[in-house]
Amino acid sequence: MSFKRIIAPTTYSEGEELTKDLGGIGILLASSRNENPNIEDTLLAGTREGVHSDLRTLGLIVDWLDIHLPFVNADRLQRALKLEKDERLLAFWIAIARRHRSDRRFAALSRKFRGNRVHLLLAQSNFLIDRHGEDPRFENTCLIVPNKTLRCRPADILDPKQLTNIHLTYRYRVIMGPSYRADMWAQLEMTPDISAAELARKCYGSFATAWKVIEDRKLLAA
Amino acid sequence: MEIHDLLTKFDFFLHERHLRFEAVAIGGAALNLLGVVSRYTRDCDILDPAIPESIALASIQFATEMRAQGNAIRDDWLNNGPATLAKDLPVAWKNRLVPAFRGKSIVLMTLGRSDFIKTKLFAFCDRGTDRSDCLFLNPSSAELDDAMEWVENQDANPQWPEHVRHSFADLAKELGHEL
Repeated sequence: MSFKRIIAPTTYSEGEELTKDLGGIGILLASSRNENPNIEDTLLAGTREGVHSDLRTLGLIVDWLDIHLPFVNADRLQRALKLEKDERLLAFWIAIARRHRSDRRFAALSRKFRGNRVHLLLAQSNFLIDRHGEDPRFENTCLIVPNKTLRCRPADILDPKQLTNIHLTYRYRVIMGPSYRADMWAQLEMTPDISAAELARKCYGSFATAWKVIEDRKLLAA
Repeated sequence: MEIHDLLTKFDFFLHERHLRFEAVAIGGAALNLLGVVSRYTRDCDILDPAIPESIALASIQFATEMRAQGNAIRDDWLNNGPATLAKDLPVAWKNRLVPAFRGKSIVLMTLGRSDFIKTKLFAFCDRGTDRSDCLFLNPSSAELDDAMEWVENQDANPQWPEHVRHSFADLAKELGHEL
């Protein structure tokens, strides 16, 4: 049977499991944390809940991205977003890409803004915009966010140095850049006997990259 | 780290130093202690009284110790951030407080349910925040009716009452109520 590359998980985590995953990527929540959760899966799961109901989580993810976006696998995130149909979810990520337009890895995503803006809040938005104005972080983006709706609490996010201490994959991304290869090296450290196919699946990468990483690792062991 | 565990450790910390702290907590920590499960950050908002200097200093020392043990919490995890809200709370709120946490050195009370619902609904109408908290509190139709007049009276903006009604109706729909 030929290998088929996976783009996204079968299901994204929710509820308490998502809370632990968010803790695992360095968001300081009053909960235990999962070890080394997939970063893009966690961000996507968090924003899926965030744009519809959990604005507290959405605010924390905005803060997280302000600090850690350079270590997000842009290719992985954008491939997974291509499978999403939710207008507000997509608008959120396009807005983030625009907010961080100096990061050229997200240029294609940023260009998806065609001038049609989307309200984050379905009800209440116009009144709250009149009352508080727009959130300056999202002005000039495709997402209309009333000011004060999304909290800004970067102190609730671990900084890169702290995150490297608790998240192995993040650590490898700091060393090697935010790539599938970095994720695979981290995964191999955790599960050294994993097959190339399983390594590729776990890290959402290609079989070829997984095979190469396994071969390269053997050089170090020799 | 769960907020109850955090407070238990801090309780032990204060007890060792012969310090005592009694206060009214609100916010995510209080809701969490009441069993309302949601996604809260690791801080404890104190409504009343002003945190004594000895306790404030102890809380910073405690935070330093926690971080050294790998439990990242902020220096201002125990804070009087919401203290100014006290003047806007429903009348006689102090008579309706309920227990939230009791240790050897720490006693925390929190707002009674009706007052909590009113403050959360006000935040929902004022900023669009706390929707998930409002849903987790799951107010009944009667509780929403009870809260509406109070929330409507919290702002002099002529469009505020209509905005409140629309916001309540939107929330009620999601809760499966008719208002």
